[in-house]
Amino acid sequence: MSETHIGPTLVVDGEISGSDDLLVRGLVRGTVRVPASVLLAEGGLVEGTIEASVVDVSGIMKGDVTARERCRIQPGGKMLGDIRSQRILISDGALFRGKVEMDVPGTD
Amino acid sequence: METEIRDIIAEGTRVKGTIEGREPLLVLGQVEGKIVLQNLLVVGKTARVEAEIFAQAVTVEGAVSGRIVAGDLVAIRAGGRVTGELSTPRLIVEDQAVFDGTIHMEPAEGGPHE
Repeated sequence: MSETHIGPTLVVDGEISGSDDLLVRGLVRGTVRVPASVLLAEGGLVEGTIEASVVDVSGIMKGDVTARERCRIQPGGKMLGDIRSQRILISDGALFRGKVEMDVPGTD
Repeated sequence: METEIRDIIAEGTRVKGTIEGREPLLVLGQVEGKIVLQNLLVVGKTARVEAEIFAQAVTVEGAVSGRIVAGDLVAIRAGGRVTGELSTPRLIVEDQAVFDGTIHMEPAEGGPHE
């Protein structure tokens, strides 16, 4: 599987979907829906929603994240929105403002 | 190209909306909407683009339908398929390329980005 790369000067307004991993160093406004992983790198900004299996936030996320497997907020990463995931990792130096809903199988 | 293209819409990815950038962009997946690039756009073999495209240069190896406005050059390579409207000062259409539509060739000085 390959990777889609949104570089630092690239701006995407709209919807990104498909089967590839996604690396965001630029700006995405809208909806991201991929089955695999989304890496929001340092300098990257997503305003909207992300649905993926694994979401890593080192940049700025404004909006809600649904990560089927896990969501991790790295040092320096800013998460402004709600997270819904089975596993949530927040590193020291990360900023998080929002709600967390942990969807652990077997707890419903 | 000497510089490696770092912005990539990979083969399995679909973008619906507007893409804007200053660096070269390689599209191998699907784009529907609008692309505004102050640089080179490469529509690769596996790509399907239905869009209004404004770029400095556009190389088409895959399929494009819509409108292409280039500041410098449009090149439709062998295997490339373009349907729609082209506006560019320089144009290359290779043997085995498919083009269906209209062409406006404008003088090179003062492209659409100036």
